[in-house]
Amino acid sequence: MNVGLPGTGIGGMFYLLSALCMPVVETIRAVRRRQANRWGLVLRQVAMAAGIGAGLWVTGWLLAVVLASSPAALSALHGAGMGGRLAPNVLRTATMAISLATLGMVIVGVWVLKIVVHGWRSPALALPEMAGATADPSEEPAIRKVGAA
Amino acid sequence: MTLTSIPIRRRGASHKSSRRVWTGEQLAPVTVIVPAYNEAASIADTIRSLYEQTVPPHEIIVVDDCSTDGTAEVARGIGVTVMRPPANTGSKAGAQNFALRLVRTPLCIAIDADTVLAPDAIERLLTAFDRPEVSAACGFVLPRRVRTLWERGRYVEYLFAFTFYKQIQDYYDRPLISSGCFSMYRTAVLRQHGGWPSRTLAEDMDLTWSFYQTGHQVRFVPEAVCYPIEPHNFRFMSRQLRRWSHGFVQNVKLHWRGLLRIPYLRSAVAVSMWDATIASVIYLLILPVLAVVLANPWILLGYVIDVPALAIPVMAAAISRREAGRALASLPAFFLLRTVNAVFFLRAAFEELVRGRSLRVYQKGH
Repeated sequence: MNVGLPGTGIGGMFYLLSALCMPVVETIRAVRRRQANRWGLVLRQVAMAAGIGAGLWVTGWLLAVVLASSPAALSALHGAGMGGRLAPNVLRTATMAISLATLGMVIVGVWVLKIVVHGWRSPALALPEMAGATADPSEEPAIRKVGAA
Repeated sequence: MTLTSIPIRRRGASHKSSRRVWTGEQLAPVTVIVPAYNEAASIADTIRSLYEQTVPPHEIIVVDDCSTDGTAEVARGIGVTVMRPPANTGSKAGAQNFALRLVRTPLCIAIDADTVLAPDAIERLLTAFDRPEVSAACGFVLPRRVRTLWERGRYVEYLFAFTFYKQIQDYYDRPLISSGCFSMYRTAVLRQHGGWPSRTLAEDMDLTWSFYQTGHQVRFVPEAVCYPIEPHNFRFMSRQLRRWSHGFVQNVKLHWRGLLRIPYLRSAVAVSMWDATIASVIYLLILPVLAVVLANPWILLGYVIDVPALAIPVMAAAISRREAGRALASLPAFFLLRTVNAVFFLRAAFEELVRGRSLRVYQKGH
C-alpha cells in the first residue's frame, strides 16, 4: 500500500514484479549507459521481493489451511469439484492466479485507455490546466482551511 | 504583513563534508518556506533543525497563516523571517505561495511546521539536483513520535512504503508523490507551474503529477530523512485520512488523461486506485460477511494474513535503523490503521466519484 491508501493483493504484486524486473532493466540501462550503476539498490530490492514472495507463499498456505478447516467452505469446495487434499493447493494457486490476472487486467486496461484517449503515439507532454494553481492566494480560495487548536 | 528578515548564519564548528561541493562554510542556495497555522508548540524544533543542517539554507521564511496561538512570536524569537498574510490563505498551498514571491534562491524547500530534519537532510537532498532535468526531490519520512496506536500504525506504513514501494518507483523514475512535509524544488519551475496548486486537498501529489506531465523529473532520496509529528489520536488521524483519501481521488479525477501518457506512473496510479478500492471492500464487507456466512471466525485472519509479506521490508528497514523491537511492537497497529483507512477511502471514492461532492475543506491532521 502507498502511504494513506489501504491496499493488499495486486498493489503488492505490481511492486513485486517491478522489483523482479529491475535486474533486466538495469542490464539494459548499463548496456545503453543511460544512468549511474544502481546494482546495489537493484539487488536489495530483489532480495526484499524474494522475501515478500516467500511471505506470499506463507499467506496462501495460511489461507488454504483456514478455509479448509471450515466445514461449510469444504462442502462448497466439494461442490465445485475440488475435493479433499486438493483444495488447499487449488486455493493457493487460484489466489495467485486471480491476483496476477487482475493485475494484468488493470495494466492492460490502462494501456488500452491510453490508446483510446491519446492514440498509439502520445502527443507531446503539455502543461495541464493550472487554473486552480496560482501564486496569489487571494485569487484562489478553492480550499477552505479549518485549523486545529 | 510583518516581515523581519534575519540572515541565517552557520552555527557551531565548521562541518567537514566529504560529499560533493557543499563544504561547511557554504550556505545552500535554498530558501525554506515553513507554512504554519497554530504551530507554536512545534515550530521551534523545526527551525532549530534547519539551523543545525550540515549545509544550512540561505533563508528561512515562516508564513504565519493568521495563527491565534503565538506561532509568529515563537518563530520570530528564533530569528527567522516571518510573514503574515492579511487573511488566512485557506490552505497549506496558499500559505506557501504567499512566500514563494519572495524567494530569491534557485532552489526552495517546503517543510511542515511540525517536521524536523536529520542534520544532513538538505545536503543529501541537494545531490538530486545535479541532474538538470530534476525539478523536485523528497526524502524518507518517519514519524517523530511513535507512542500511540495511530503513530505506531503510521510508523509501520512509512517503513514499508519508503523502503519498498518508493525506492522502486524512484528506480523507474516515477516517485508517486514528492511528499508535502519535506520536499525541495527548482524555484523557476515551481513558478512556471503557478506555485503550489490549491485546487485539490493533496497539493503535493497535484504538483508532482503536473511536473511529470511537463517533462520534469522527481527524485526520491532515501538518505534525506525527515520526522513529522503524526496524528496521535483518532480525531486527528481521521482528519488526515479523510484529506488524503479525498486528495488522491481528486488528483486521479483531475490528472487521469495526462497520466495516461506517462509510462509506469499510469500503471502505478491505476493499480493504487484499484487496490485501495478492492482492499477496502474486502476489509469492510467480504471478510466479515464470509466469516458470518461460513460461521468460521478464522476467516477474520484475512485482516492480518499478509503480515509475513509486510514484515519483510518493515523489519529490514527497522533492523538497519536499530529499531527492530519498536517495529515488531508496532505491527499490530498497522492493521487497525489500514482497516480504518479503508472506511475513509471508500467514503472518499463514493463522495468524489459517485455523488460528485468534492471535499473542499482543508482540515489539519494534527
